[in-house]
Amino acid sequence: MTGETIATPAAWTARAHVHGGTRSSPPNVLDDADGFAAVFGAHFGEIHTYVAQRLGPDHAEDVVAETFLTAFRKRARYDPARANVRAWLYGIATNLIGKHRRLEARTLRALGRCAPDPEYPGHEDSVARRVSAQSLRPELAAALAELDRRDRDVLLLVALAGLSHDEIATALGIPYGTVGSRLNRARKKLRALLGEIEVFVRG
Amino acid sequence: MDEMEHIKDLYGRPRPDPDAQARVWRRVMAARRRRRLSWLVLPAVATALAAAFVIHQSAPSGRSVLLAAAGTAASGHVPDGTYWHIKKVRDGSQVVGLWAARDGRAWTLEQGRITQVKGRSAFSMAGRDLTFQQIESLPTDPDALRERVAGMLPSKGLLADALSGLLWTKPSPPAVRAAAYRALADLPEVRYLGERDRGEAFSYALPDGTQRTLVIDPATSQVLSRTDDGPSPGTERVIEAGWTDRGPR
Repeated sequence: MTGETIATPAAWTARAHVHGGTRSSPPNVLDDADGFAAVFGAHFGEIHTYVAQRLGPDHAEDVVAETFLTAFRKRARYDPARANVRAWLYGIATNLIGKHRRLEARTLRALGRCAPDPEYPGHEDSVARRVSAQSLRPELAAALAELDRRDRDVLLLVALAGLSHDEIATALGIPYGTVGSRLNRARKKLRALLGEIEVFVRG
Repeated sequence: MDEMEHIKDLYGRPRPDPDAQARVWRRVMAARRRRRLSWLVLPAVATALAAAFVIHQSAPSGRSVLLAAAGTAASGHVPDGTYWHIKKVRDGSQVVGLWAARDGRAWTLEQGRITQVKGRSAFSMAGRDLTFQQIESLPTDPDALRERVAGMLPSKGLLADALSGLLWTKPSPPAVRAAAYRALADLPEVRYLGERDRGEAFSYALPDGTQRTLVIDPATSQVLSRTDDGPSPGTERVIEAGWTDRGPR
């Protein structure tokens, strides 16, 4: 077998971008198969974590594979000037998660029942907080499940993915102002619920 | 503790198991190949056009395989053991191994005997000794790495081999391994042979005419085997590689 020569000048652009190279108009990192592979390597871990958080670890791989496949197929529609790849992938994953509403509800019920992940760092500062956080799990999970799906998407893209309003607007294809209003609505509902219970726990 | 913290606490951070990335990558690749095949049922002329187009668009290239491996390598394990260790089966029968501690001590396993390495470093590049510290301070930018390595070599014909050596025969940090994969992706002398032995095969020539083939697993970034064809044929298959607290035994 003679094989194919693998060096091609085209991929320099993709590489420069993945490495954070600065340029006035960013190239589409998904333009070629190589850029796609690099994007997969760079973002698989966090996209998997996000999907596993929302749909549970057992079903995460299906949805993550579909996310990257969708990204590849729709790469012509990706506009690097408007969104970074990371936010765009979160958007695709979020839309796919939306097709599994019953699974998400089931996952939330399970999260409400089980103890918090001991691997998750932080928040050891106060036993009282720990206690209240523990006791709130079922209510918090139920409240999240009751939110409108679109409000929950925005809330979780902030809380779990740490995306900015700007990134969420482009990732979900909604106006900037809508991100704020959905987030406010979701936070208000949760805060009302959590406020009540924390008063009770500390009382 | 605001509601965002409560939410993070509730969800935790489930981590993918170590093989998940490899499995998902294979699925994505397989789905892309299936898509390519589905084009081939078109009528003859359209098929030729479509196949040319789609293969150009989505067939995994050697470069994409190496860059995927680079992506995985970059997020690889930082050193977390006392010894850097590799164990290989040479020519299908002989087990050879190496344990190297950061303080310079090293032991080899050959013909069932463990021997401490004396009077030289456990690592070399084109016959030149390399210390742990030299390997760890190699550039993490692919261009800079290629320049540095090229400067250490007596002949340019050894560049591909020296760079690939950083992937598996030396305790290179994750960022250096990633840079080595990326630098290799740019070398015209490195050829992609396609899937082989549950990995992806690449080959290049050595100055003496030997054709060296490495099989890598892009999903773990590990080198799985080396095969030499030519004046002195031989194979090495990696059975263990990485950091460990278990010393020579």
